[in-house]
Amino acid sequence: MKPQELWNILHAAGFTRQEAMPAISPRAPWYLEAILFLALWTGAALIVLAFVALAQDSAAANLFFGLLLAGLACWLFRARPGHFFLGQLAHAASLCGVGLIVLALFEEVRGTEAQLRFLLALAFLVFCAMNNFVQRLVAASAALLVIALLCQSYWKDSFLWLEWLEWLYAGCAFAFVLVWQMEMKTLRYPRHQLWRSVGYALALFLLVAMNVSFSLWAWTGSGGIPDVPPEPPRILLALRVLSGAALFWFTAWLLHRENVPFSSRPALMLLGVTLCVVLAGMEMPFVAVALLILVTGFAANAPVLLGIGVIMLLNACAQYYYWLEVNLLRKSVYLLLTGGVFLACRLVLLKTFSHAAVKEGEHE
Amino acid sequence: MNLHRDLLLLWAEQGALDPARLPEALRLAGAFPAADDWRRFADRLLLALAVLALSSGVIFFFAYNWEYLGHFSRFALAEGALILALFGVWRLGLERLSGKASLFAAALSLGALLALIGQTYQTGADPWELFAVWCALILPWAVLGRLPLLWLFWLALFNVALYLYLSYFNWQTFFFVNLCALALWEDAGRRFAEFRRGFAPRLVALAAAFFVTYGAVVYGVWGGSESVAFQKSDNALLIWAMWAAGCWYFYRYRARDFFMLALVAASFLPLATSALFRLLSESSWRHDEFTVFLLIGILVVGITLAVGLGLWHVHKRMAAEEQEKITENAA
Repeated sequence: MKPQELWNILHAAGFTRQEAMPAISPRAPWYLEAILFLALWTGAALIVLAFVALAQDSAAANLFFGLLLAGLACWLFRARPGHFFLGQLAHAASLCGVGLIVLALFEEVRGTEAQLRFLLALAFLVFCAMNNFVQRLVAASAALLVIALLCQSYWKDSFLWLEWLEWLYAGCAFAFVLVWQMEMKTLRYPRHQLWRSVGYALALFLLVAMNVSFSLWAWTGSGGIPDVPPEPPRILLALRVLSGAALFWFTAWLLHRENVPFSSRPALMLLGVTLCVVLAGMEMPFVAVALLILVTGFAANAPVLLGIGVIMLLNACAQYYYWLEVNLLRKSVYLLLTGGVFLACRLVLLKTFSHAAVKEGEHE
Repeated sequence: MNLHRDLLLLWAEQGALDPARLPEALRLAGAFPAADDWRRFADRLLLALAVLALSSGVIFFFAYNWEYLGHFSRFALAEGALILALFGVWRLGLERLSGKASLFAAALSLGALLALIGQTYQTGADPWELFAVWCALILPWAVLGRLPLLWLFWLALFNVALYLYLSYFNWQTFFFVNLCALALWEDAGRRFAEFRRGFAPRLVALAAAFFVTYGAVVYGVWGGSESVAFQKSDNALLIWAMWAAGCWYFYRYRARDFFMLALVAASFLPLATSALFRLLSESSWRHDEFTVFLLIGILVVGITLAVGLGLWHVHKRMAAEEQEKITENAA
């Protein structure tokens, strides 16, 4: 639906305060912004490399120019939000500026943990200062990566290399639910975009971490790390339980938001289906999180999230083939049974909804 | 992105909408799914999960038992899958989407059968022959099906067969093959609705753009390397220029597809960056890394901004022309 059509519908229903639709700044296609952003990254990286090549100890100069450029970007984003050309210029300035600040940071601050903490603080500052969705998305993603590295450095003496990632992953699943709840509840523009940028960053992190954890598991399982047992114990158990709990919580919240009483038949049915999915996730890691992202994508009308959820679901299925906790025969029987349960759930759900629809018709 | 929701929130912020009635307005605009949408979603999701679980279960079962199966059992499985898919095509018909999906599944199953034949009967055939035969056998299906996804798959197979046959990467061959494919696709688009616009011709154009950009950068700017000197092309930049000019003219004034114009720009940017690198690495500043990187970085940023601004103007102009056309047609 075009903006004018939407305005006409709202105007006819009496929601508008004026006759004419407010002017809307035209938007560039996403692929144009992506191409330019990539090219600007390259240019910014080259400028930062120039300062790396500078053989003198110029951390102060790097910091000065970095802050200058970052400040310019911040001003441009706030002064003319939505302006295409100035927006691209601001992106270039921000990338260069932040790159130079990071360079100065690594020259002056010693020790991995201290550097990571400064990076986290910098990511937080960029998130708050830059009034731009892409900048915030990149800052939030960088912050999550730094948090993961900090957790890994904290747990580095543990022989269970996956332990830190498992708890972090489960924590991110809960954070994901919370953030998207806030996004859907926020009715102030552009405050909802703050939550959305964090929400997307969490979704991307969950997708990447899923593959990282699998790779780590495969590496430890093949004896790639000394003093690590060749067959790790039941791994990711906390992740499976907690991510299932996150999915359950989100389903209950959605029912509450849609004003569906918990004691009603559709609500009990939906919660029952969610429980089936959670139990399925106890055998197949990451299924509950994949479905959480998928359902959230639909609820928030966010096609990108839907896409991430689908990718994660297929990824989880492919990884399940290689998990060596149980043999292929048991996995195949489990999947066939699960498929049958889902079909039965679908049948019951259709009957429940048609029953509810008939009842609604009677009331009307 | 939920554009309706963003618009409504923006209008409320600007005072054009009553903020107190914003939740109602969001529901009216369909910013969030309604009850019917949720029913359809739950139905499709459960069906998709069931299909995924059941089909994965079947695959896992056969994977577990594969080494215990004899040759005939394996062939029965592979041929059974093919026959099942073709039965689906016959029953559902090529007019329906489910029929076309069955046709695509049949094309995939045929490949699995050919691979099984090659594995079972070790004739010493070259790998390219498998892909070439696969291409040849599914060509009639692609013609009859008129399914863009199947044609894309066929083109990918053709490229793989060609690469395996040549045993080396020749950018001109792959560029011309994909450029011809694009030309034929655009021509088919004038006759058949299935081939008009969409993601498929853009993917083919992306492939052609990749190969010509590779050639222009590696051979046109850098003159190739010793290991591939025999592929040296003196015309790489000329070929690139002709492709860029032709593509720009056709998609700006004839087919009017802005994505293709953005593709030309995306091809130009790495070419310009490489040229700058080459120029400065042979200049008197080549020993001053700071100056070289800083200059190139600033120039890349400048060129990107200029290209972006130019494209933005073209985009606005094309949108205005489109609007004028709609207005004229309405009148």
